Amino acid sequence: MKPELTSTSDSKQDKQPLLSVRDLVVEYSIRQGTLRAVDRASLDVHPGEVMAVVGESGCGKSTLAYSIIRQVPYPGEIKGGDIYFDGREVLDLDRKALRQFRWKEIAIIFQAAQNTLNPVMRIADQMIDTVLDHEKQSKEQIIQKAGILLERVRLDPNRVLHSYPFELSGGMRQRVIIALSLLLNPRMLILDEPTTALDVVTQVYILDILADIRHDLGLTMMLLTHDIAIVARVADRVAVMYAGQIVEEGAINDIFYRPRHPYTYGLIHSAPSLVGDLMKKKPIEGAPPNLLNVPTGCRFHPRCAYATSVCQEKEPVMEATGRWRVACHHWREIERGE
Amino acid sequence: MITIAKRVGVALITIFLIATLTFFLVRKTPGDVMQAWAMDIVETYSMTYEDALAFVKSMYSYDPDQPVLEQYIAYISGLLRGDLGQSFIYKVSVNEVIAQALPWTVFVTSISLLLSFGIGMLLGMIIAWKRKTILDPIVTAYASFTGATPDYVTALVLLIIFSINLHIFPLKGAYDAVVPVGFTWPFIKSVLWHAALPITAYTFESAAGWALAMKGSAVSVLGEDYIMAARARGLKEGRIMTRYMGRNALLPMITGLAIALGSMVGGSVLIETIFAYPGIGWFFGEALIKRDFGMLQGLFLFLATAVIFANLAADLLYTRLDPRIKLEG
Amino acid sequence: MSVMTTTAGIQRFWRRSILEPLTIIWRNKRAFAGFLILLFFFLMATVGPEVIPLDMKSRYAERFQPPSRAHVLGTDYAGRDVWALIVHGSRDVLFVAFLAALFTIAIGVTVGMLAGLRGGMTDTLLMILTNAILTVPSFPVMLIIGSVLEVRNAITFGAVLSIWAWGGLARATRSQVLSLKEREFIEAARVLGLGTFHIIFKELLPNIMPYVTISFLTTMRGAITASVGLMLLGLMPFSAKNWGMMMNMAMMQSGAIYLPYALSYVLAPMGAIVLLQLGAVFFASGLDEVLDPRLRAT
Repeated sequence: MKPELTSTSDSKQDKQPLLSVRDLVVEYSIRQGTLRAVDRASLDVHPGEVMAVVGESGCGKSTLAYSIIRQVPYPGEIKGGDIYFDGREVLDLDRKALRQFRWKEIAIIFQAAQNTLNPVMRIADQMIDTVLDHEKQSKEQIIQKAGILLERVRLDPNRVLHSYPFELSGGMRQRVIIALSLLLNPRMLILDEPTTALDVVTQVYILDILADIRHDLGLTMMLLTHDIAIVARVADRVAVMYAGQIVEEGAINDIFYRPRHPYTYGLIHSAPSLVGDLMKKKPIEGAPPNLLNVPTGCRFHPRCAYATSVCQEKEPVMEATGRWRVACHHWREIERGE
Repeated sequence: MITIAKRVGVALITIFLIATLTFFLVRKTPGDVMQAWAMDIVETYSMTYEDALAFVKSMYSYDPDQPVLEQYIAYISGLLRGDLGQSFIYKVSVNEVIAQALPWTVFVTSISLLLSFGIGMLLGMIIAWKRKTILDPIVTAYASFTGATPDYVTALVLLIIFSINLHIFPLKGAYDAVVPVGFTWPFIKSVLWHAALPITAYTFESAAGWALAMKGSAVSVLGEDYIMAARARGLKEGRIMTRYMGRNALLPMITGLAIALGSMVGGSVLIETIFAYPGIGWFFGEALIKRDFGMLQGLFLFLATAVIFANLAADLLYTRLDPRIKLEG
Repeated sequence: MSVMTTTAGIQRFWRRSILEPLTIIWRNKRAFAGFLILLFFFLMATVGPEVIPLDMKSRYAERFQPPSRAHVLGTDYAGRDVWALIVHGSRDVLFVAFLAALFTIAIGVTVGMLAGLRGGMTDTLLMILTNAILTVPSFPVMLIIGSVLEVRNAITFGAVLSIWAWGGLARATRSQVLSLKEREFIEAARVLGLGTFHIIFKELLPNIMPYVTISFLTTMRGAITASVGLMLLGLMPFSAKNWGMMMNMAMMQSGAIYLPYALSYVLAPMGAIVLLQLGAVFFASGLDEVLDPRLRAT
């Protein structure tokens, strides 16, 4: 699976990051105990960049993303760390500032399967609501802008604006949601599995649209997915999450051609492609750990082919160069391809 | 279109069924009732027994001596003409009784419905919205209590406390007999004063029920994705509560409301009897006690028809209000 | 094979319908309180009349006495002890309600099964009937039936109270039957030669037990309210220890409500009803958990 070179990731590194997450800790208090969904995760996203966060279901990437807009679902709570957006500490925003912050600075596009539109309101009305609660504009202005955005996502405004959500197909709804997300000219988009629930043809279509938007508007994007193929198509950088922690992060080429963490390696090589021998593909053995009861030391060690005794005893520290980071005791051996 | 016709058809069949049921029920009236009545007339009006008996029979909208089928046909054709029968004790048509009593019943029940629905909706929404308030257990306890208390107990307690002992509200009637009828303030005041306790009794009973129903509906709506998405869009809380949660939570309530409207027509026999309030329910009670089967039959049919049509209307209304539901059976 | 499946069936029935619900009730405070209240009334109805004597002799000199040490709840219009009246009256009230619930369940389950198994025209007709029962308010119907028919004994009374009460149970039973009909193992069992009715009945019972239990309670509650209401209107045969009749006498005939010191006579039966119903409501809230496992605290 050859990734397209969408940009030179090196040059982006010099600018100040737009989003900076430091040692974020998010916990859920449930009946059986406290579940740490995100464990000291740190991440930087630079302006104009597409950062993909990959991992299996339940690895914490959604929780991480929702934390950025402080919308962790109940009973979750952000327990520690910092989140800086454009220099401002998001965790310090008061309620009113937070409400303004949402959608205007960062918009989030949910999974296509979710019904994120109010079923008893027309699309146009929902668009109007979204804008009016942030700035003062006339309805005509809003509708006009909405029309332009709908055309951008290749929908016919006349058809869509007066419809109810159930009158549109899944793919159309997802495009409406994308248009909705651009209404306030946000600086960054977070996309949570934007194409997972769609058929393959629609998936490509949506990705195409997203690529266009990114190109035209210079948006920064954080893309959450477990689908390696999508990552290959669109991402500049990739962060790999496992059991609430970030285990590796780097430029797309590094991640794909020189993975340094066994989990990353497993992910890359378990994805089938049209070329190559299917027989050689190997799934990662085992299952993700129960977050109430994480393994000692490195969380991945029960499933890792390279695990030794140190992996069971000590948690690996994040080691970094300028371009990539990895948390593994044996990354050097993996890098050398053993 | 076809499904509407189907549902209307079912409603009509049901009414027909009820009418038939009533017919055969009333026919079971012990023969001695008619004889006793005839005897009564003989004594009061010194008619001959045969004449008296003939008169009594004429009070039923059919002749009990004729074959059943003919009686039945006479009865049904009468119904189709809108003839609900005759009242034995008042010697007028049931329609006239309804015309006189219905306004009072509707007056009281409509105000009560408005109040209890309104209060219930508000309470329900607030409880659902703020997850942990002291309101929740209070309202739930209140609901348990009113659910356990039959409406006649509430009515009696109110009567005892406020009418008999505290002398705040009057004991009976729709208005003071002394006051002349008309759109004058003394009359209106009298009407309101007399209606206060019945309205309180009704409202007290049902407000908690509405609140809990609304709470249930609102809670399930709040769990939906679009509420979370609305918050992520930075929408104002007030707007989310009304247009996003409120609208969706209210939809299932509409059917309940329509049905309640239908039941409004009948009123509560017991509440009206306890307060001696001359509405449909009170006349129903009178008919029962005095064995006025003509009026009983007519009033009951009126009641049942109203409720059945209300159900039908609720069905059809809901399909129109929720844009998602298409009328496909 | 049938012995084993029967034993397994009985075990399952025991666990699902009796042991589990009881455990849940024990843990839920409200349900437990309700259970205690119901137990209290149950004892009152069964054992009470044996323990507490009722002197039906009229002593007009002692009428309408307020609560005192001799008469805990005062006396009625004929000087009789109110507490004794309540205790003795509870038996009738609860017995009639019990009968009503029994009849309701019998009719409801039968109708539901017939409709579900037969399908076709039988189903449509029965459903129209059930719909009518559910839509048209039951109290006026019972009032009419009560005034037309002569209700002399508890059984007739119970039957009258059950006539318009079986709708919900019929509907629930029917859906259960329909969903069972479609399950694959029915096909498999049919291939093996077992009768459809036989299978469905065995599978049906444990599945509808929750509905039956709830229905039982609801019908009893409704029956208590309705029977007292009917008596309040003076439609039922007279009996001074009958709670409804006590209220009727107090309200309409003896003018007791106008006398402040006779209040205990008026309030006693009302209090009894409310308490009994409260017990049922609380107990039923525990049943909610039994029906819907998602609500359970564990």
